[in-house]
Amino acid sequence: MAANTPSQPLVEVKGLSKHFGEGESRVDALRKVTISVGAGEVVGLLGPSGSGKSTLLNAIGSIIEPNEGWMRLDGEVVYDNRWLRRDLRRMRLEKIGFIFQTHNLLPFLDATDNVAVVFHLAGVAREEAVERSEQLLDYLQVGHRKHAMPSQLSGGEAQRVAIARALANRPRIILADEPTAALDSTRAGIVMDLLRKLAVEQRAAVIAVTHDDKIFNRFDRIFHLRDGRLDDEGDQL
Amino acid sequence: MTSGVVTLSGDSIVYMTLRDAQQLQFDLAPSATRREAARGAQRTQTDLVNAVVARLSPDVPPDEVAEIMRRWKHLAVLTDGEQQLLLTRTVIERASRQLGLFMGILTVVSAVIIALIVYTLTMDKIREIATLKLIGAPDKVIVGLILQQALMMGVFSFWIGATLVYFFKGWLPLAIVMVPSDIASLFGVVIAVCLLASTLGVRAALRVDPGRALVG
Repeated sequence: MAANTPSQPLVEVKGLSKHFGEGESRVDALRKVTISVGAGEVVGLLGPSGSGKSTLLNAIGSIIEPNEGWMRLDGEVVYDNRWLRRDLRRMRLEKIGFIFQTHNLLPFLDATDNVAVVFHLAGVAREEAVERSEQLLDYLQVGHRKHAMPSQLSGGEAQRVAIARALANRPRIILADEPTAALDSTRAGIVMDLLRKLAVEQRAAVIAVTHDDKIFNRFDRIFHLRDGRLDDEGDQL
Repeated sequence: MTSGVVTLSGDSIVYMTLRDAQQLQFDLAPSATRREAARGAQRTQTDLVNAVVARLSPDVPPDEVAEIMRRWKHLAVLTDGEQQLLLTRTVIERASRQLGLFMGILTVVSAVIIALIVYTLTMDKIREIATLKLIGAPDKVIVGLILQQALMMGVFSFWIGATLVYFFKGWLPLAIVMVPSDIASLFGVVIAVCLLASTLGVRAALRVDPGRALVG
């Protein structure tokens, strides 16, 4: 893994474009998008439906392949008009933590095992994986629910378990897709405080797609997307 | 000595004296013969000997004895080996072909049913599979989960089936012998069928787009 220098942003995207379909049915989801997010920053991606927010998040998360552009994640150039890494899933496991709109916990595993699954995938032994998972759940103040199944957790608890899973491999980049959409304003505030704390303590970059106006003031910068283009360089809040 | 003995097809056998057997064959059946006897027709000679079983001393070669006896008029001679061959070719081989055909059809039907179940269970877990892919699970983990599911289904079904046969075989109209090697082979077939049947689910799982985990 390439080392990240303090001056270097954790997420750097330059001239990223993505279209779906060809000819008359072609839709340009991203048009020459350029953004950079540094360590400890929490930024928001805003825009109307179909503006390209999720496409940008998916491209940064190496879930979809852009058509052109350049992208550096955690100091490593991973895309330069083509993927430069073949094992994208491994890269996601090493560098990126995902937080979903709905928690997406595995329903057949309890809270601890939902977190431990990431440690297993990284090759950590079962005992250590469970111990570290429980520590993470304690850190996120949901340790008392470590043996609960996802169906037994409240929305806020489930989201905190999902955040614990996203943090399991100590990723430097955290991508969140509407992380507070299913939560009331109090719980949404708690989750955003948590993301802020993680960004600062773990020197991570947090990028969140959101429509939730009650959390707009929690971001360091907000990028507005419209028709696949960035309206600005990121409003400083 | 005769307790529990069955025919090659599993039917029960009744042992009786030659006289009783002849009476059953010539006096009670067929009806046409009985009508003829009632009319006063001369009865067929019944004090016949159908077969003679000869046991040889250990130092006497059976083939040589059979060769000598074949020269006698109106007699056919079969050694142990020839009898076995005759039975194998006529009764056992035909029956095993029929059973093999049924087993083949049942195996195919089972494979299709297991494949559909595994596929349905896989499609029910699309979101979980997408989440696993998104957080970095390699294909071998996904494939492993589906195979595990299929194998668990197979082992559980085999265990139930074998237990039922073991405890209820005495209630079935035909005698069933559970030979360990046959049970082991059947277990192997069950595992192979489950693995084969899971390919449909595995293919579906490998095609799942990790981006589906992000769809609200």
